[in-house]
Amino acid sequence: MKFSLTDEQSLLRDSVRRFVSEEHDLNRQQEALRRDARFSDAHWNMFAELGWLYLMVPESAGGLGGSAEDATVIAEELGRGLVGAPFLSTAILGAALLGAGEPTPQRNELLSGLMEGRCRLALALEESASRYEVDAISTAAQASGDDEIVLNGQKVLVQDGADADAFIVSAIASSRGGGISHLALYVVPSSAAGVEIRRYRTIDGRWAADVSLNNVHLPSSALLIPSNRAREVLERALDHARIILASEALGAMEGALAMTADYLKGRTQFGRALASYQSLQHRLSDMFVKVENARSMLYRGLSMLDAEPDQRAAAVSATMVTINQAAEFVGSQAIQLHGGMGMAEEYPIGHFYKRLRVIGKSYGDLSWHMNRYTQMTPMVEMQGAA
Amino acid sequence: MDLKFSKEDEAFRMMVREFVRAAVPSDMALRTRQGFHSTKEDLQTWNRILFEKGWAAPHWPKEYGGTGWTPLQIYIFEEECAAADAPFLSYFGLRLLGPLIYTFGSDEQKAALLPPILSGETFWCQGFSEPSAGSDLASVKTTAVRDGNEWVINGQKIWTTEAHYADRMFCLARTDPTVPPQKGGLSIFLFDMNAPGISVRPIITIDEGHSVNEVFLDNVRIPADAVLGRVGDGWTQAKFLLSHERVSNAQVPRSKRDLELLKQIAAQERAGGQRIIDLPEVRQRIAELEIDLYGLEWSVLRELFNGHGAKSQPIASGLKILGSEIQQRLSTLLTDVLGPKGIVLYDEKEGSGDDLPGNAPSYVVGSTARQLFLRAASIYAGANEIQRTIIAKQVFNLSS
Ligand SMILES: Cc1cc2nc3c(=O)[nH]c(=O)nc-3n(C[C@H](O)[C@H](O)[C@H](O)COP(=O)(O)OP(=O)(O)OC[C@H]3O[C@@H](n4cnc5c(N)ncnc54)[C@H](O)[C@@H]3O)c2cc1C
Repeated sequence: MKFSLTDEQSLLRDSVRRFVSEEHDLNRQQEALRRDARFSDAHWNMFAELGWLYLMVPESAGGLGGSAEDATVIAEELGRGLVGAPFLSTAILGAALLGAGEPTPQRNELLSGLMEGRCRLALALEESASRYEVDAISTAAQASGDDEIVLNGQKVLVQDGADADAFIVSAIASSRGGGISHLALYVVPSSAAGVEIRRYRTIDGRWAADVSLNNVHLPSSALLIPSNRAREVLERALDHARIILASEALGAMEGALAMTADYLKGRTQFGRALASYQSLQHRLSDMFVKVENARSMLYRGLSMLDAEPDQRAAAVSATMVTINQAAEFVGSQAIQLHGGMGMAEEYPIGHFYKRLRVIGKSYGDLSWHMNRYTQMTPMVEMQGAA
Repeated sequence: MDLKFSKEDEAFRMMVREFVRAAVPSDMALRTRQGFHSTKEDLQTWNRILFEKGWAAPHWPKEYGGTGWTPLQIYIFEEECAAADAPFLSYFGLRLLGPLIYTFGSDEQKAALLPPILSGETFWCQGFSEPSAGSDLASVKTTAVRDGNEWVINGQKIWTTEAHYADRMFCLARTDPTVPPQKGGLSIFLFDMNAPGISVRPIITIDEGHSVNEVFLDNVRIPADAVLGRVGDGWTQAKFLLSHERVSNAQVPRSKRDLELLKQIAAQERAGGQRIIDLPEVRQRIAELEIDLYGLEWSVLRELFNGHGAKSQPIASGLKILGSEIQQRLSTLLTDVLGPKGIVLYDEKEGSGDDLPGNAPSYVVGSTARQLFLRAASIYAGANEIQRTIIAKQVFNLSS
């Protein structure tokens, strides 16, 4: 075992840190996002130039075939700086799902676009009734003629969906001959006829979308992952993405904690620095303990990403439960210790809390993960066997 | 001991309920349920309705326009108002300044200032906190200097709730820099917000709402008699007021209503065909909140009857801590019950109700914004850390 970063990972981390400190400005980003439902093109191009968009694309498709560990290094620094890029949607989920598809010319073209920063992707899974359950959907894909697919359905809360060039859409595939219907994944260009996009902001200042698919006719090559393996591929990609999100949350927690400690050192009340009050020192310490524990659980989750699906699911959910609970405590206490200042939208600390809350409700929330963990962990049997 | 509501209390409740339910306009009730910062119009309208009924300030002494009800009846009244989704009347005149005026004000001030507060004609804001004087309120830097027949005020206030629509401010300022602020150096001034030299700048909070402001006081000239009570009594008055603020900050009636709404929503939300309210961990979180809210309610009831005992101040501090935490937990559980929809603000612009982002039902409107704003409940009205310090000092005689 070894917990330190490799040389390459350290370089990667430094390059993200440099981007965050030299190019990124939180207030400017939030201002721009208020006007425009799109993360800065200039910055996204830098992501491409710096190779971050190549990282998770398989080598066979011209990418770097990086590891989840590599990706967490980037996500953590983006989290610390609250960078609102569609990194997870495009460079993690997009790359993983496209990478798992058949190497057709269409797919390869999408992947090149992804790596070069020309193509932003968003994953459209959620529907009104699904609440994180990937197969609780009713979007339907119907084969039509020999080489067409028709999609119908309504996707909601598609993160980074407002400015996506293409969506990866989950739908129930029904074959012409009837038979059993199963989940499959499709690529739907946002410009396709019949695609209607409703854009709106989420509390972290980023954008999501509802995507209606009304008789969207697509060539049969739009099928990315067929139903015989879509469920498995999707679950795996989602578990990877959750761990990347966990590391973004960790970066955000550390960022919030550092900012709070600085604030307490700088602010005087009753003639003393706030940081000199032991009750506040202890609060910082509690936050620190939770953050360190969360980091340990991040590594545990990372270590289990290649385990059997059930074990992986239980481990990832265990990580996410820890992350969620730590994030709520650290994020809310960071506001608390800033007093009134913590409530001001112009001041950064509240944005950490809001981003952490969004992460805590993305691809599963506390109750979903707790539930999945208990289902995958046969506690009673274990006791009986002892 | 008699631990039951009497028949008379129950009859009183029915009488209040009948009036209040019929009197709250339904659009106003919806806005209150959604929990956005109330508009001035709603506050004025509801204030006028209660004023005409004689119920605008039940907690005031009868001679100044109170109802003469018992503390328990007042509590029942507040509960019924909250249950009917009536807006919460503007705090600053009715809850804070009114009691200050009838306790410390001159006869002229009582006669001139109390009636328009009661009727809702005059809205006040509280100009206490400053950029460098928050928890340490006594260190306010705003100065008031006597110049002939006038006072000249200079300084900056911050977090001033409703300053953007208040008619007047009560403002804590330094009148004598040669004595410690707690020993006669501070006074409270009462003046119009449209006086020359006052400018108000909005502060948007993390719920993207506007309720607090910065207020700049630049050579504001006000008449000599604009000081509340006596010059130099500001600290005594401020302390009186902060203890008043804390009891009502337990917010039990509002939280009871929020719990009710939470249950209704949890019964409508579904996960995989199952009602969210049937999930074991949701049930447990709701039950825990309900039990804690009972505890808080009974503490408030105890306090209503033993209100002026030696432990009154630290108990009020305890109520403030528990009350604010319960508000935060309730609103957080509500947004958690909404699942993935909890990432959207669902603010006022989206208030129409039947075409919401994420295909959400209309009851989501306001929920996330309120959850975010309620982070402030443990900060305003004396931060919870300060309340703990008060308890340590007053119950155990400890100082830090
Ligand atoms: C939404 C909102 C509305 C408000 N409305 C008004 C209003 O209408 N009028 C008005 O005058 N003010 C208002 N306030 C201001 C409010 O009273 C102050 O924010 C509060 O008193 C805390 O002061 P501060 O913000 O300066 O924080 P600070 O005093 O700087 O405190 C920062 C943190 O340090 C902690 N702390 C401070 N001192 C100590 C200590 N000695 N020991 C341990 N911990 C300590 C605090 O608890 C807090 O967690 C409002 C605030 C908010 C957020």
